[in-house]
Amino acid sequence: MEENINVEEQTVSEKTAEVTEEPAKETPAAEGGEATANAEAGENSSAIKEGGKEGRKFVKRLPKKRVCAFCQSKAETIDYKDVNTLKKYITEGGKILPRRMTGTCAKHQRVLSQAIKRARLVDLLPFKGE
Amino acid sequence: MTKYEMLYIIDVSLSDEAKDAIVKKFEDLVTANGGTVEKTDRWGVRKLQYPIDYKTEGYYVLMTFEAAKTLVVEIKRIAGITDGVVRRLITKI
Repeated sequence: MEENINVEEQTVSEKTAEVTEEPAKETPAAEGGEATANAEAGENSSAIKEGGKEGRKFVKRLPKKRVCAFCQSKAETIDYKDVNTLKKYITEGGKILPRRMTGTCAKHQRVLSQAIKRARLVDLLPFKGE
Repeated sequence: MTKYEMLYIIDVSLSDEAKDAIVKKFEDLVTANGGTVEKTDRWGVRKLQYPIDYKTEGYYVLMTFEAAKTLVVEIKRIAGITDGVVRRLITKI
């Protein structure tokens, strides 16, 4: 039984190997199918990967998902005196970094901006950098 | 009664006695008006991120205390008119 399956998979992978040279979309699906295959099929898959590399250049990469650092540390409040933490969330020019760049959640961004503004008032952070 | 903390900057050019006098002044002000001073933390001389009155250094003091709302307003007013206090910030904790 196992031998039969192997033969089938081999033929399928051979077919995909021919196809892979032009469209990049089909390669991930073909690889997923091969994950269960044995050593013989594995040789074929490596051949496909080499062929598929050219097409994969144009595959759109999804941005890395960021998680709010304050949610992970379960911080309720953000201290305005903790300058080293706050410095990570401002630019060199002293501006507050937007949420889309730091991955901070909406709730903590509000608390964070308040803390940064307080730190500026007591001269712990600059209003304007160099 | 709520817990507050006051961070203030004293002029570095003042003598040590004058700095102590200012710190004591605020501690007495709280205790004399029914509040309690929990802790006074002297950070010491720190470099300022931007100059205030052409000064580039400041003597930081952090005082945590418990007081009524009206007293906080008074402390803020007095800190504002005390010579030698460059900045002050009172926040709830």
